[in-house]
Amino acid sequence: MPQPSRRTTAIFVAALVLLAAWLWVAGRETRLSPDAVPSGGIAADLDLKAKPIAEQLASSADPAQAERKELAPLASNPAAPASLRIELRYSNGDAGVDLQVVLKPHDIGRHAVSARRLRGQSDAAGRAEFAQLTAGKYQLQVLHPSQFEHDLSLAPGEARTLTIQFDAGILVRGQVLDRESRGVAGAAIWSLVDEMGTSPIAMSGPGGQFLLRDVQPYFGIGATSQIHSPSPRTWIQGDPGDEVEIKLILQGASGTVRGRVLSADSQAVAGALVVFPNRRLPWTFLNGDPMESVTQVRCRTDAEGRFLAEGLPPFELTVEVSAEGHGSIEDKVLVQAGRSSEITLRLTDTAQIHGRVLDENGLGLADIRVSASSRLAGAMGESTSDANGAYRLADLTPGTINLQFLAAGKNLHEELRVLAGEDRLFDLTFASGLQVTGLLVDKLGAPLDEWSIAAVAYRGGSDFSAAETDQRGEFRLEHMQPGCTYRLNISAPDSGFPPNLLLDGIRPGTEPLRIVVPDNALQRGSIRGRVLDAKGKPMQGFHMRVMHMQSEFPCSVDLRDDGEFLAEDLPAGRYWIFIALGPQLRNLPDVELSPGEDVDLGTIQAEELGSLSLQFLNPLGLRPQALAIFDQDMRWIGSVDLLAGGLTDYPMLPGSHFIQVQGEGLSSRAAQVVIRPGEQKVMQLRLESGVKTELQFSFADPEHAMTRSMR
Amino acid sequence: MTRLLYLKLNDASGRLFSSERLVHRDGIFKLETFLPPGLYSFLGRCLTGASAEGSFELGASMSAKQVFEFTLH
Repeated sequence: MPQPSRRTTAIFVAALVLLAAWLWVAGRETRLSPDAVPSGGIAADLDLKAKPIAEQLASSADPAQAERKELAPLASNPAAPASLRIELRYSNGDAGVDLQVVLKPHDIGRHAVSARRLRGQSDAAGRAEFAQLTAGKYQLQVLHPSQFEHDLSLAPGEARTLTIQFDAGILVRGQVLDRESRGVAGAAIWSLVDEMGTSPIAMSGPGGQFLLRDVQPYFGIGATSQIHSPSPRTWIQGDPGDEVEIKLILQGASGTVRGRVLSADSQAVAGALVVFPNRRLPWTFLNGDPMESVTQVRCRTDAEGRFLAEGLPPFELTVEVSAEGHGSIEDKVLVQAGRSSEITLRLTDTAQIHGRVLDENGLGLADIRVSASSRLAGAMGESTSDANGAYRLADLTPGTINLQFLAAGKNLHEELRVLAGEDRLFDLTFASGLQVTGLLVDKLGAPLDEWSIAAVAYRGGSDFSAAETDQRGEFRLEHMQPGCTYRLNISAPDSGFPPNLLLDGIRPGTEPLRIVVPDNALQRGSIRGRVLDAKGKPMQGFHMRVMHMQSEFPCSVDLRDDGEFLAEDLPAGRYWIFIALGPQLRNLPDVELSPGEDVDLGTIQAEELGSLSLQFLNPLGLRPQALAIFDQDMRWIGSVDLLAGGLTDYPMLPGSHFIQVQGEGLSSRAAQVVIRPGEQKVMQLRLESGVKTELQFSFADPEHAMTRSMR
Repeated sequence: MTRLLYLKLNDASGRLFSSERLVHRDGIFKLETFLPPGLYSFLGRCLTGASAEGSFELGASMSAKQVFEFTLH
């Protein structure tokens, strides 16, 4: 039988990445957070295609840089501080003035609260400077609608100058208004990308006016103010070079919350992040995962641990507090319009988990990755077991902690309930578990060498195991859990995912398998096409997704600036294809790909969008929280928060849709709406009450029959 | 393996209440929604082609945690 090889490990890692990608796509599909599209997918794409970076080492011709170099100790001194000068330019060369810049050491989490997160603001020349930096890796963020992010590494004593020129985008002339159409000065304009922290991207000036330059298409923004509830969200539509006008309408009266954040021993906690996420109830699409409003109110505590959160909608809100070195907490606070509520929030002590990872003989296993996460705190830390198998995870938020142990061919989860201040000992034994062995042959019975077999549990757990066939075509999948049912993803050498062959319903501990791979399983095909916008120009700001429906693997799609896309190396099967256009998805007809077939979908022209505004007749005082949108075939295509109880100019794909207003106690009855290209539709909807109902469906799986037929 | 279930839920007069793409956990699909009392019918279809349809009545006095179970064939 073959031993695990380096290639098997690579296959395992690749499969995990693909699984994560699938979960991400599935999450996008089911989680329906409308801002998830611009904040995740489009941001990443813009970074890749823009790369607006001219990175240079500081020139000695620059006196300031020369001075810094002269003062800087020799680079060989690892303690010598580094410095970074950032020069921000709009696409036309103008200086990027008054822009917030965040520099974050690479070793703190994306959402982590840390005093080591450095902030700066560009001056009148578009420059921001950071001095006395510890050498190492950093992530740079510019709080600008380009969502610019850049990873960089600074050497000891280095003086770096980084010139950032934003991609050409849309010029947005905006105005913040109240419900009586009066301009509101001093309102904060927020990106709907929640990672942008506690700083708005702009403030409204006299008459509520504000200006945003080089905004990328489908960028989402919202406004908050001290005395109004936040505005509904607006997505910026247009092409780079366009100039658009938008209005952000603040909603009714708001309330404020004054509070104090204390440590577990009643000491004031400065710099704690206080977030009012307006977290909603879990909805059906989310499979129990809560959605989060992005137009959230955030602030930090002062030196005395005090905070003031203004412009909060008058509901019972969740508040989350986190600070470095403390366990995160959440609480509820009732916000009343025109009034101030008081709250004291006490952080908990952190917890620790330590132990050893052992094999069946009690010997320590080295290089096992151990990570901890929880619902409240997200990812909290990661460790790798040492030569004795020992690991330690510190600074954990107490509560229910999910531990993941990850090694080649093995992935185990454990859930621990850990108390504040506790240092929990937890040893894990990596039992070899059950096995699945087998033989992989072609239709003539010849063994197939170096094929990869990845087993993924889909019932009874989340286990994973991988192996590779040897010269005799034999394979052995180890560490499989009893009670789990697995799918085998079978891939030819040098063949990517989706796999060439799928085999369902595999349970460990059964007799050896004999798997015959049909000839046509080796034939790979492709799907190509071109996407144009309503004006016949290559579409900007969109993503293509191609998913192999049987395996549910997302396929890699090569998308060019001219709108052409190509997904290749595809096995036969049915493919689900959709275009993600800002907050909405457009499903294309499914493609049934024959073995080795190349399908050209030709030119796909997107329609001119319309928009939808909603006014509610609400005699029962119900709280609408989200609007789900379906196409005429009842397929969900998008969703939007109704945080402030209304909807204004939401971009809609033309056609016949069903819309469904969702909220606690609200009937989920859907209404039909027809949107014509360019139409700005205004609808009145009467809100009705409903009873919370849970339906549960189970099904008889034909997996046993499938398994027998494949053997 | 079937992860996805497409589900439509209508009331007795044919008005749409839910059109969902549910992802299972351990073979169980769950739908949580808000419905007025009345008669409802549903149609479910999973990727394997298995489908099920049925109906139920939701009474005004039913508890908020009422669970209905159906089997797809």
